[in-house]
Amino acid sequence: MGKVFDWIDNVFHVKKPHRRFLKRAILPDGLNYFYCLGGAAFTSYLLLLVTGLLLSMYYVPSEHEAFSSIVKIQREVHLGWFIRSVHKWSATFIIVFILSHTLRVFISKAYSKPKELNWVIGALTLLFAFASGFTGYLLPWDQKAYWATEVGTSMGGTVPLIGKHIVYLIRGGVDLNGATLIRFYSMHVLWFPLCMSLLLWAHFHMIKRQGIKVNL
Amino acid sequence: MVRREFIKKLIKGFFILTTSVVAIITTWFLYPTGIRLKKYTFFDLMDEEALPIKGVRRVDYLFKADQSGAKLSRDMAGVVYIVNNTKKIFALSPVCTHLGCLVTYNRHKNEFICPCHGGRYDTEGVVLGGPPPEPLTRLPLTVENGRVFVGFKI
Repeated sequence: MGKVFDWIDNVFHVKKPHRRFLKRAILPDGLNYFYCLGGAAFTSYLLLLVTGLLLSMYYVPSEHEAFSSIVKIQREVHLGWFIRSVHKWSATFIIVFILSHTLRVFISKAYSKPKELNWVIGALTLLFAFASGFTGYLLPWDQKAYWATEVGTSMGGTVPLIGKHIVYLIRGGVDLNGATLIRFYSMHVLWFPLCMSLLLWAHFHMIKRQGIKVNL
Repeated sequence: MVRREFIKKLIKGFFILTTSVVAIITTWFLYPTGIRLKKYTFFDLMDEEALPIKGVRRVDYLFKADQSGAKLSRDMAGVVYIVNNTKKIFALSPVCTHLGCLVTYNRHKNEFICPCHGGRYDTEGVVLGGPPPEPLTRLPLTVENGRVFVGFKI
């Protein structure tokens, strides 16, 4: 493994400029297990990414076939129930982990200068996680998904003046239908993961630059 | 072995194990279900006496699931055309090779005509006109002990 990597690195030269990052000692004294919560959230994110890629092989984002494709994943596909469960539970746990990570950062005052930008990035990541959860909830296209999204999107209508247009924009029409499903699918599998990956890269890059703050 | 070396090996082994498990699960997940290679199963169609001496004969069949000897899970009904071109006797499936409609035999024109898009076949099953890309499928036909057996892919 190392030999193969060295052979590639002879041309690419990625090892040398990254040595400072790869072999750095970033762990200060006074850490405890609460500092693992961010990593746990990231692990959930990776699990979601991998299982999501697998599920997209069988899921059909169409008005007529979405639900039956879910049934097929649950009943026919090898380990389909397992992959879908991992996706679902990781989605639950990523919210739990991000929130507790946020709490840890808040308690240890890790949001304070000079790390305020990392707090902003983290907050944006949380928003994207919520949005992914919301859009993913519609995709099974059953009664629960439909009415949850019906209620959720109609909340946008309470915004003064432009509320109506916000609802139309989110739904891709006046009513919740196949157009909404495609819209949510695209958001869920393309836009949000892309945005979250970029945000997480920035998040980790800043940790590498600024270190971990221990202030308890 | 030094402790550091041991832990390095342990971590390496853990990663290799995890990667292999993920690779196996992924391959198994992506491998399609319901693969069943279809082979010809022979059914007792009719008496040898009923074979046409010359030309085309339409035979309607109904194979009961409970009399098929566990070959069928439900009753199977349909049509097959038995053709005798004076040299050879063979069975033609009526399923049009274009989009799967059932062709009918037109005695006046001596052709098989598909009602959907006007595909035309001669009595040998060869395409005469219309959209069909291939000739009609020939089903294997055997005669044993005075009975005619035709093979269907089920």
